[in-house]
Amino acid sequence: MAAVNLQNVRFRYPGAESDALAGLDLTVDEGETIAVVGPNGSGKSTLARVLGGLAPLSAGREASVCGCDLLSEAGRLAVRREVGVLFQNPENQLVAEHVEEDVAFGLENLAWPSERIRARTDEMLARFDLEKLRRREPHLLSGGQKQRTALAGVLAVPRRVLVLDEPTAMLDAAGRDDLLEAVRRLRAGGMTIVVVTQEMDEVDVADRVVALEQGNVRFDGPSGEFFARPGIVRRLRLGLPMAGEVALALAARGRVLRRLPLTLAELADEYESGGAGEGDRLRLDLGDEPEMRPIALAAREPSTFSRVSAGTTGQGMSLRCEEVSFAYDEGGRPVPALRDVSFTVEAGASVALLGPSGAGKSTLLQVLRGLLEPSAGRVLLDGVAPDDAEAAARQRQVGIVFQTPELQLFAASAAEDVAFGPRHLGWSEEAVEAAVDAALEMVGMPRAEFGVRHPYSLSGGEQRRLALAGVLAMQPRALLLDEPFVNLDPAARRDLVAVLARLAERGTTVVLATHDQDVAWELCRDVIVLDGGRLLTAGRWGGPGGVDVDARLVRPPFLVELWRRLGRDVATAPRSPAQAAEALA
Amino acid sequence: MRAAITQYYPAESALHRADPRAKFVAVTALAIALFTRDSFVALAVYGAAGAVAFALSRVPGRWLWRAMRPILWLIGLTFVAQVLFAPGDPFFTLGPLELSEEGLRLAAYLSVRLIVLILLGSVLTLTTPPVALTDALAWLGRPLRRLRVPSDELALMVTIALRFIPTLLAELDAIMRAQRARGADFSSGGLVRRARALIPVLVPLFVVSFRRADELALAMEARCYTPGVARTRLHPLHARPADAVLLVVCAGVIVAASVL
Repeated sequence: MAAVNLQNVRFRYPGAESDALAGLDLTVDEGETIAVVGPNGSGKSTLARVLGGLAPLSAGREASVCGCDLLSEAGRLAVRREVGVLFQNPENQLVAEHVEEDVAFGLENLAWPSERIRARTDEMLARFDLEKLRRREPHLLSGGQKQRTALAGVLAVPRRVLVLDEPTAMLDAAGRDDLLEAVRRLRAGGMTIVVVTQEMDEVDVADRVVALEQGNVRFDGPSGEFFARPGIVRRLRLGLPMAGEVALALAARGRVLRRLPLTLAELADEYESGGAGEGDRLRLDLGDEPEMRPIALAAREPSTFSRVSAGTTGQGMSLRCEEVSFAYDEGGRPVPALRDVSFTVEAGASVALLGPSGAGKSTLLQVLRGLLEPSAGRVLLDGVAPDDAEAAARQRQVGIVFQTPELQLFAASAAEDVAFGPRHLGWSEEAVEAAVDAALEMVGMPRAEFGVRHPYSLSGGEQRRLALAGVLAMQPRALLLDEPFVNLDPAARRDLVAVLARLAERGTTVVLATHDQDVAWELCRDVIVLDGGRLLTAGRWGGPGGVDVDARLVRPPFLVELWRRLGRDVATAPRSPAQAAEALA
Repeated sequence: MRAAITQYYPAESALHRADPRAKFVAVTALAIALFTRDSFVALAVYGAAGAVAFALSRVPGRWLWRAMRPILWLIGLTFVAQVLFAPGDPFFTLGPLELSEEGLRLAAYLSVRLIVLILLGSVLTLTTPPVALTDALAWLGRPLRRLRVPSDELALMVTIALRFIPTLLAELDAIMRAQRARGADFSSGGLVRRARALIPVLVPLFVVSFRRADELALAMEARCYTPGVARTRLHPLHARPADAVLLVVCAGVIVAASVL
């Protein structure tokens, strides 16, 4: 029996001009796992809400989920007991003061007797490995722990169908692996699962792929068949694992693919068995519709920059830490975050700042910018010591982009927001305007098109780049970035990578704290590795004479591993999928 | 950061284990009784009761001091005001200043009362997590449901508000840091300038909070929450014999203070 049976259903948000779901058909069998993919605005999240009985359909020929009729109010309320929905943002799903109370929340709402709630809650805590955290307050959990708690809470109410709406988009790599593992176990246990995602390695958990575009199904078939058609994958702008990116780059150079590889092993296999039988060969289908427009980056160097920043010495700034230590004060108790860290970043270098969560990366960035005062040691900017009269001016030339910087947007227009920083520097109105133009241009959001837009009307990726422009407008000679790619969709991530690559090329010193080794490898030639507040490694990353990065702490970049696997010289490992394809073709 | 938000001090004590409803009723009764009789003996009895309760709570003394300290200047101020403006025969005059025995006594009553009040209130908040207190209030407020006061919904609202205070503070901190790095200055200039400087902080904070409210409502509905429908609890409030003892002792204190 079908768990989900939607026929020709429509949904429109109040005040919207077009349907978010425009006559959509979907069936899901009991025990099946499907992945729903599609670009932003394709109706994926709306579908998740509809399935959970959280959004009333405007029309439909048939809409039954677990035997409940979604076209009626009563059916929508009833289906909430059968279908669990896990949302993207783990923070905004937890309501109670402790983990265990949060897991129990749904059962409390259904007025189960306390003893049964207790038994069921214990069972869920054990199943999701949360027993040790049961009395922990939600705000003290990591993102991954929060999302696991939310999942346990959703499933505490016995469910027949689980809907996950981009469940890992806001998690780090470890949290992501945890959650996907939990989903795999649920699938093996026979749960019907609908996972909405933009990441292809998550699609891999599904039996079937449903691709949406403009509120309608564009592809519906077994995932094997989906992976065999990279053209669709590309057209939908899905996030490919590195193996897929390399394969597509190879295909663009005329290579024939049998299917889209998602892992290193699959890629190596695909590459090494280059002479597959004619029968399984498949021409790369790049799709019949034009690709979505990537952001336009001006080719020329904005001349306004040199005019305004005349008087500063050169472009990049050198950063030097001398035996820097820092401790946070937690209720009168010092908690060390950095211990005796020394290194030098040369002017114009681009450095990846790597290390596990809690290694001290964010703290180090703030110490470099002078926002936190080291408890011992000192930071020299351009060789200028902190007790020098020049030091404050140098600090102002270091831009810092915090995690989720779009949080700082506040003005009524994009241009106004970008002008906030330069105004505080006391520049003339003319210089401020020139700086705003240049910064917007730099992030691929030309003022003519974006200047008057309201920041909150922009997409997530545009908001992030606007926030970056707000920092760039102050014309920093060094730019510090804290996890700039977190919670961006794949397309937005690529746009941001392009902007940062250009900044580095222009000679700005860039320090990039990230968990994404592959992006870091593409952008950065130097590396700093922290662990437990200590400096483990600092120096050239890769190439001849490169430093050794402990693989137990930092997974080697995919392309380095690929080169090792293919038996090539690791010192010549490529930096980007395009370079890899060039070398392999 | 926690200490600034809630007073609760986790420990193992009879008072920590007591039902929050009993604790709330006891403290409220004592606080009301405290203001009914002008007698140093009565005040001493209440003070002693508060001190014994605090000792039983096994909370370190500096936590009490922490709660008391910010209010001491208020107590000092009311003392001075009482002394200066209370009626009575002056025994000491200095220009417009008049001190009377009556005034001194009234001022002393008020100060001691405030101190005992804070002591009692601190014992309650130091031994009771805010959410337990909220639950107790919701239970005690149930009769008001006849008057259409949604006491359970209000309690859940307070619980959620408490849950998100640390989140909100962390976000406030993050936004202020980011704006400071863009040159914002929150600590100089006059009142108007400082208020204006907060706009780039408050606007994003509101936006995040509204978005959160939206998403949270959805997540709660997805977990079968329907306002107005009776809920059960994982840890329901449990009255035990010890709670009856607490109330009897409390009544005894009030009786003793009235007759002595």
